[in-house]
Amino acid sequence: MITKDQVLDHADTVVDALNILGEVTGLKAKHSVETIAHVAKAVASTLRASLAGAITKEEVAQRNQILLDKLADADAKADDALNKKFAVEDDAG
Amino acid sequence: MRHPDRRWRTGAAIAIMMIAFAPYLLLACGPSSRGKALRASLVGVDASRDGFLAYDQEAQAKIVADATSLEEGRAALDTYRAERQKVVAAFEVAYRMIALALVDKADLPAVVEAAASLQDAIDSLRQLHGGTP
Repeated sequence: MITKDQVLDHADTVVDALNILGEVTGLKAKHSVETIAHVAKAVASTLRASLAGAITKEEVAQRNQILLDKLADADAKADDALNKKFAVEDDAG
Repeated sequence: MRHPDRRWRTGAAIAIMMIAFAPYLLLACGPSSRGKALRASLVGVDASRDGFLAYDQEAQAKIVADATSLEEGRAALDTYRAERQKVVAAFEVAYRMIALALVDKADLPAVVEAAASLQDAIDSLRQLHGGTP
């Protein structure tokens, strides 16, 4: 199975491959090389944006959520420690 | 074992360096290197995040230890957390800007700006709470 990293790493190759495909299939006869290249880049760009979007949703958001979750845990731990500290002192007094 | 504050600073330094250099790598390199550079920036921000979490735990523990009353402790924790929120927001912006840079080169200056803002937030918190939490 091809991973998204492999696709990102070979985005240039995808563009080249589509350019060559255009040559081989005769698209060049109907469209300029520039048009074929433009379409190929658009396809590669869309593919890359889709993959990057997945990274945004599944990885970047998750990484920031880890920060928020662990800070919430630390806050609860500190609040609990503070309450226990003075509850103990009140009981002793 | 390294002190949490030192780990945070080291992580932050790595993150800032990676974020700062990533856009230049992106401009200089092709799409394949671009993805790698942004992923490296993500790793750098993660390292800074983990160091910051260790610092935060120690900072709050010290505030609790130094508190002379429940009210004073709560007020000190509230003050610290309000200041800490600026760093949290800076992390969020840094993550978002990296994500945007993955799809749009026009957002590269925003990555640099986010890195600078993260550094400013970290410096401010460090100045308020000293070198050691």
